[in-house]
Amino acid sequence: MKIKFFYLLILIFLSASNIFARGNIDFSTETLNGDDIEFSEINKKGPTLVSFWALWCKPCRAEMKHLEKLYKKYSDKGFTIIGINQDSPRSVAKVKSYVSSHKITFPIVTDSNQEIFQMFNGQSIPLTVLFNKDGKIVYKHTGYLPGDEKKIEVELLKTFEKTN
Amino acid sequence: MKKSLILIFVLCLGSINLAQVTPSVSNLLRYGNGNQTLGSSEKKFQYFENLTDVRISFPKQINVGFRFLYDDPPEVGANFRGLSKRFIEYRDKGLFVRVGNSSELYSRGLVLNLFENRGLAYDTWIDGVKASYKYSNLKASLIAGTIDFRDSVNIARHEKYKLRGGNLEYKIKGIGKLGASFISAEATIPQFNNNKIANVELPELYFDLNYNEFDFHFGWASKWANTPIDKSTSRGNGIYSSLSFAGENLGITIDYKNYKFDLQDPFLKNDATRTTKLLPFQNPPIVMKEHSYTLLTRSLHIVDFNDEVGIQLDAIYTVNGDLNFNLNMSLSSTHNSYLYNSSEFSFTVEQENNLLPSTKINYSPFSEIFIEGEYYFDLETALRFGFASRTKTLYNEFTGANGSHTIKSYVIPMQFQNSLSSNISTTLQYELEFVNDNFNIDQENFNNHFLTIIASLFNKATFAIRYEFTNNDFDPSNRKDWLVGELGYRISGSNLVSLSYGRERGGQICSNGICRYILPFKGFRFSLQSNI
Repeated sequence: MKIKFFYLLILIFLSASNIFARGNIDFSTETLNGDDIEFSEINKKGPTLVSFWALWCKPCRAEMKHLEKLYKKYSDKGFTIIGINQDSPRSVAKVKSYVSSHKITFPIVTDSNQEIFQMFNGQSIPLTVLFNKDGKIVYKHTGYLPGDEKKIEVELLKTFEKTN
Repeated sequence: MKKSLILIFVLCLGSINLAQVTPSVSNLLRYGNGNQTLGSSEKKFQYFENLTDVRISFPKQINVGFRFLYDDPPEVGANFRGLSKRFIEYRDKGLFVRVGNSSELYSRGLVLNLFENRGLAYDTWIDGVKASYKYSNLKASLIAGTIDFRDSVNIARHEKYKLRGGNLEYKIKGIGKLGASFISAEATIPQFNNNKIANVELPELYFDLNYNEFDFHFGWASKWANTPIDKSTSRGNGIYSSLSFAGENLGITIDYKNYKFDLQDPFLKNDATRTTKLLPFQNPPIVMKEHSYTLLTRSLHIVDFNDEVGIQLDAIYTVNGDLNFNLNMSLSSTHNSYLYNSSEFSFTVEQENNLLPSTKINYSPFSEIFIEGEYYFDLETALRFGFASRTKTLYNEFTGANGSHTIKSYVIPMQFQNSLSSNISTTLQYELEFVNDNFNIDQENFNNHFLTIIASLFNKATFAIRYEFTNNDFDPSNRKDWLVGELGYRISGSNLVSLSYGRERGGQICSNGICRYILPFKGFRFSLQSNI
């Protein structure tokens, strides 16, 4: 019982805190097009949004549509999105055709053994993390609810303002 | 126990203030109190699970992580209290070394796919060392350690593996990849009162070819297993291949599987104690659709990696940015049909079918056709409409067609989501299933209905109602309807709390923006997910 109470204390601390750790995350991987990318190199160019998604996840697919719109709107200001696909080897062969037919233009990488997802300490998808140009996490959400894309845009505009 | 908790807490708080050290903590608490349903029986059940994943990044690319797990009891699987995972890793440019617990995947998992699925209590993470080095176009990986595997479905199956292996991959810029893997393992498999030791060797070769919009993958793996105590040796192999086309409006993927990792006659096939079956650290592609509609996630075909051949076609067509179609067709079956000689209690192969799946009943075929249309009226309003036809047969070689189990079903799923204002959005989902089950003798035909309504308020709160109904008088649960209400609230971006009450039939449910698999349960549930 005492242990459960102690857990509750930890959870209250975690839940009440809206602090985000500095990024300190870097990974190198290969996009669906076969290009090698390094997160830190991309992030140097501007704010970067990392979105974990999968084909079987309907909320993820709904969010991807909004993210593509955001990417088109702000990519010329240095904003980049990296879509990290979490499909297991069961479905990973279908990812490229999905991305291409839905005209998703930002870089997509596959993470079938969840190596990158573990770096972000993810529990469930969709998980969306926005880094500013200095590599600091400025916004993060788990799950997708309509309106989340507006929050991302607000946070993104804040990072642009701070940079300027 | 208490000291460990205090240590975690202090470490997390302390490390936040150290300039060079970055902590990351995620926590998942799940509590349930009610009755768990297994078939027609119900038993009082209370579960409490708390999982704390801590990851601390130090300078010089060193990361330390651990998981504190309090499963007493968990919803699925065995009780556990303490540190369930821990690791230290170093990464710098092309080098990566990790000591402790790890997942791993070589190519498409024909010989090695170590992963964890908490919902199914499936965990094949290794405890040992893994390393990889990437230099220019060459990548080499090594792995060594032990796997302690407990099957949550068959609790007697507690197997231990000493595993070592490696993978070498060469990337040919603009053309594709060539790769090879080798895994060697010593398995300790419990058999009644003693343990059987089996030695296993698994080589694998694969290649990828890319040409404009086309991608081709081919992988072959072999399995050699020797059980000294039985003086028996088994050989098997598996092939997985895929061809995909990624056009501007059209994407097509064709997958093929031919798994013969332990091809045996029906006598040996049904022997649960056999040591030569596909090993838990192998997990190749299933070559059938992974559905997200609830009724389609039930009564799934269970892939037999020891004996199955199959093909899948998946096509996505985008008429314009707002209208998309998805067509998926899959067919699989066993390799051979057998004739039973009742006087000699033996089987002979009646007909071999080694390359393509068969639709004949004596090959236990599974087939599915799924088509879905999705139309976005605008970015906030979407309609999805689908149709699925599925037939699966489990052929009984002892009795023939009369004793074989065939389930045919047609499912019509539809979903409508709409934003009423900038602060309120709703989702309505309805699924209708027509089933014909020849083992449901007194009522072969019945229908299942699934309805869910979700309202999302101010991008913070969700309220969901899920209702299910069946007209099957002989449902194993002895019930005809199930009703659940759920409240979800986002405390901050990545802290979610949810409360639900009611009776759930189980299956994959999407709620609060997350999809998960839920076991049949009646009662109260609480979950809190946090991530900083």
